[in-house]
Amino acid sequence: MNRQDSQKIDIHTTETGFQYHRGSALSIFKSDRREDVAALVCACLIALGAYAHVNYGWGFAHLRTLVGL
Amino acid sequence: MVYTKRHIAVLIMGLALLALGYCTELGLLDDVIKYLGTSRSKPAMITLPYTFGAIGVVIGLWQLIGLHRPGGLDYINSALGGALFILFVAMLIRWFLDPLVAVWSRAVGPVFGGKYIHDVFGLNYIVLGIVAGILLVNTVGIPSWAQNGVRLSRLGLKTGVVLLGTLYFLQEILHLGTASFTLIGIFVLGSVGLVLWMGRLMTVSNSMGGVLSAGVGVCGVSAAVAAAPVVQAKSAEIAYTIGTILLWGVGCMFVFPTVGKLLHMSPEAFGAWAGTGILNSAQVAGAALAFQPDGIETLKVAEIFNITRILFLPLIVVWLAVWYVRRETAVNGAAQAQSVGAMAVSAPRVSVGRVIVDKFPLFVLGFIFMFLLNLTGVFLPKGVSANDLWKGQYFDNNLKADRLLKDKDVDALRAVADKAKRSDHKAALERLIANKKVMSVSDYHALDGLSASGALSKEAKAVVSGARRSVMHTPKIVGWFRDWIVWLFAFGLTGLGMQITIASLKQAGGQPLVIGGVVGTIKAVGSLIVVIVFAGLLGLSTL
Repeated sequence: MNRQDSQKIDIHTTETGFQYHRGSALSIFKSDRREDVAALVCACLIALGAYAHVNYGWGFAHLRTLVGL
Repeated sequence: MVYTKRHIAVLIMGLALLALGYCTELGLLDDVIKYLGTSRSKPAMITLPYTFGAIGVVIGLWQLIGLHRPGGLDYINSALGGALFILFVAMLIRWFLDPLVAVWSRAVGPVFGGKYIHDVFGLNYIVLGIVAGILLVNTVGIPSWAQNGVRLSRLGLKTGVVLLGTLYFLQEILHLGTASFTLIGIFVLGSVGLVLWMGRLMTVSNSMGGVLSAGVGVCGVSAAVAAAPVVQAKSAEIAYTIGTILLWGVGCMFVFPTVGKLLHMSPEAFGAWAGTGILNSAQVAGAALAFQPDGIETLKVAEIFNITRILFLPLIVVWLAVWYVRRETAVNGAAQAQSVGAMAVSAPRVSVGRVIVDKFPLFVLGFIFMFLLNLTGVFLPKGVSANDLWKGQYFDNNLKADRLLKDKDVDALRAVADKAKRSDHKAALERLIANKKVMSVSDYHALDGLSASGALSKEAKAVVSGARRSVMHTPKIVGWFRDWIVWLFAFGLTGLGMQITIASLKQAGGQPLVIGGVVGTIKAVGSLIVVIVFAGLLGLSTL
């Protein structure tokens, strides 16, 4: 691939020609910063969930009791 | 544009997961579970398939019969099917393929140094997940309804890294701080400098050299993408760099655990080596888990080194910014430099402060936040403080009667009581015999030293080991975090495999591959030598 051709490759396009109009070929997010924020939110939700489960017994078994299964 | 595909696959996957959970709960899979030796995973094999099966059915129905209009909700909805697809593959691999490979491997018998094939090559759910992803994408391809969701894999990895902060304790950071900063400082700065120098020798463009140096030197794909705007890298150069890093990283992920096992490296030493020598964050986690699939110690050390490496990113970005401006000025020459138009294109003004604010990865701050939160003791049981912790565990010898030493255990210890030479070892052993349990943290350490001294018989050593284990407890919530982290990494790395196409690997051909290969090899071999030779000096446990 010469240098001019190399400029035609885009991380928004896969080898099969599929074009991602939003995000990039690596992520659905518009930017790394947004992906970082989403990761922070997910991690906090998981931490809160684990905390509630361990300290208050909330979880799968609790949910099954609630819905009567 | 509407992204959501009306496809029945997500609904079928949801129903299949519900069926898996139901069959496991009814005991229909007990024979399979017994054959595979996965009875410890049985509770998770009920809870997770039920939970994600129900989610899959709801999403599947929504995708099939819902009204989809262009917008954010449609975009997110289109990604959920792919995320479930990755998770489905990861579950099948973790609960069925991984144990099946282990069963086959044990049936073949020990092949290398008393180890089985799957141990030697690290064929666990992490490696098998990545391989399955690569095979899927390069044979049948990723279905169109899952394409969007595969791009969520990096989110899984970043979330895992943030949560990993809950597993670090101050003692470990202090213990590893000097080692990680020394090793990473030398090898990150050395690698970046070496790539830039080789790029200049091989007349690679400044932008190509710049983005490749960040990728090879710091933390792989994220660093390459972060450094790209600073050195005005073209899309092709970013793709070349990513291809080089992935090709090298995949090779390392298989070679590093094998070498580590052949050299009988400790989890700490291997973690330090992998965290320093492997180019990409994802493959650091993969190699660490491949080296030690049944524990988290190696991963923790490797991630500390990896995080330390990421902490160097702002410094490298600033270095590259200054380097690029200088190089472009030099290339353009004094005559061109006087041309206002030429300078405006080739040498942008770079604000150091702005670069740090814009480029520093926030998920690293999340990791640090979780670590600080952990120090407050919020995740620990009542009555236990962070200072009571030793390697993530706390001491509690309020044991039930059935956990105390049995008479035959005490007899085994009495038989070797006179073998203890050191007074603290002797006293700790006497207290263990008298109370039938370990009485203090100092006794816990003294008995560890007694075991390591070689004075005990095999039977007595086993008794001491069991007594020590019974008084150290992992906080319940930490166990939960570990499970989540393992699943997030399994999800992220299986999805990462689904993004590695043969075409993207071929893109790494040529000069970037040569430069990346040479510098990567120097970094891997150099860091191995430093870890082996200076393990004691760096405060790492010996090999």
